[in-house]
Amino acid sequence: MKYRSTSIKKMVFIRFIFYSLVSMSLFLWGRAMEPQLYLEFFAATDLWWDPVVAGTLCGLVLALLGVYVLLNRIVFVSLALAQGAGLGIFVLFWVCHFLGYHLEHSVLPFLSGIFFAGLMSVIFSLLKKISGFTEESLIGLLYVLAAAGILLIGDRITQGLHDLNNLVYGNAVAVTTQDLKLLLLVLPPILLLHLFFSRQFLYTSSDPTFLTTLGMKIRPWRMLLYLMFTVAITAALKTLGALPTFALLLIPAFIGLSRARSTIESFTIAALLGIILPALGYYYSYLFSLPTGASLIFVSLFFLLALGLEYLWEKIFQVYSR
Amino acid sequence: MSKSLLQAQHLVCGYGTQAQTPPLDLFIPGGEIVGILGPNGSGKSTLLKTLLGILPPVAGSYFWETSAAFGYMPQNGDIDPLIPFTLQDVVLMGERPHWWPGMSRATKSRLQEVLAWLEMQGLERCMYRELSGGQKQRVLLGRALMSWPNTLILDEPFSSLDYRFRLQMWEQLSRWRDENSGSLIWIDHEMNHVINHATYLILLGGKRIFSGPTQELLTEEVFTQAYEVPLHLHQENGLHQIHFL
Repeated sequence: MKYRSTSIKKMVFIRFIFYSLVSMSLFLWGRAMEPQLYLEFFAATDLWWDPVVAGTLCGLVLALLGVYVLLNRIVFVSLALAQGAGLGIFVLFWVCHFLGYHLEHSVLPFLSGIFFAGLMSVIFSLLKKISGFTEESLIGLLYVLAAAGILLIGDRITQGLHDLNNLVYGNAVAVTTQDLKLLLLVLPPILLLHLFFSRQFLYTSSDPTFLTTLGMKIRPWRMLLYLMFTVAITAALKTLGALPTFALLLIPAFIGLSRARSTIESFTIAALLGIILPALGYYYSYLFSLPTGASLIFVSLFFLLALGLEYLWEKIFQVYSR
Repeated sequence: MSKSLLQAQHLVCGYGTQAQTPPLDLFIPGGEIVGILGPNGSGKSTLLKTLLGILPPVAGSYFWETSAAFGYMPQNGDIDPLIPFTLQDVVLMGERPHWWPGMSRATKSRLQEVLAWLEMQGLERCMYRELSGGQKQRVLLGRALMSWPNTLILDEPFSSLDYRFRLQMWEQLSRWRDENSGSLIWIDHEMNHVINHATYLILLGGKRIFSGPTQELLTEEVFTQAYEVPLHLHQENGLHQIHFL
């Protein structure tokens, strides 16, 4: 049997250039379709600068974490954590509503979200240990309970429910400087953790039993990874909203991992798309008057098509063969 | 009396509080080739996992010699194919991961040594998931060797190999032992291979465990008791043979 042994750097470079070209084509296509709005878009930098910076920062971190989410097959864990964070913010809002305290421009909702999501992880671990039920059933149970809690509290708070929804699920267009500061505070440490400990996270995801024989403790690494998910998802959810958060968590990592021939390639492509997708999403949202979240998914479809082309290219020409 | 590699007293292995093996007393001298045999479900892998610290013992205790450094090769080399690991990534997993990105000079040199030893130089960039079963086993052996072990512990290392690869791998293991004067502990279902190569046997039966130097345990009575079926032991061309009657 003939094994492919293409240089890792070469593969990363080829795919990096390919997806950069796809991005450039999309950018130029938008300009060709709406030349007037294109000029307006670049004239109104103040309008989109903060949201685009927040989006690309969240996109970069979520895309990298998304690789671990897909490798650990825990997409639904991230959904349940987000729901837990949402419940935390709703509960805090409910309490403050009674006390007459206003939560605008406060970091308390973010902290409450993290606390509840963390609490949910602890309950999940305990239930898993004592009940013997499968992970899926427990995640489903916690997700349903958190969702019901949000609905019940939402039903009690009739006034300002719209503001509350914005507070919990964010609004990708209306990113405030406060939101941006919060992201700049919490996301860079996650990037650093990934940079220094990606090997530990990957190895504990692939063969924890073997690592135990080397004397490595698995649980602290798993807990750190889950903590990173909790903080990043809560911060992104509160800033961008649910749809962009999950799109950025899954789509770049999916494309990065598909056809990847090394872990460095997966992370590089996912990071590139994590940065590009929110920026192009905002750009298309402005040019074609699309809702921002849906616009991001719309742009993602072109990248998924590009991935399909990569498959076809490989099948037809076998370019990556030795 | 020679220095022990491993000692166990009334060691019971299992999951949680559920015992899977009868109590076991062991004294394994260093430098031995230890074969672990037993029928399916007798707890061979559970014993190995307990001795490696993956599972806590249900009862009893065991002690490894302080200088023992393990290299472990699991029964099943199926690393999640979703993870795009190269052959090099898998071998490097054998070294306890450090926090800095990249490889140290010592690690690079050890990696090349291991790959050369496995006769897999030039394949380091190949995808692990695209290798054949036999090559995967060799890579896992490389991973076990990465951390300079003096004791190799192998859980059914030949299970997915045909006779050619089996012979090739056994030659590699023997070479490792000759070069490093190390100890080898392995589980196998191929009784004839084990009784002819192991110097020390652990024979797990459903009700009783036998352990000791191979020559002492090599009787029809012991094997019949362990496997609970009548067995015939004889010699052919200087090799021991066991057959089910």
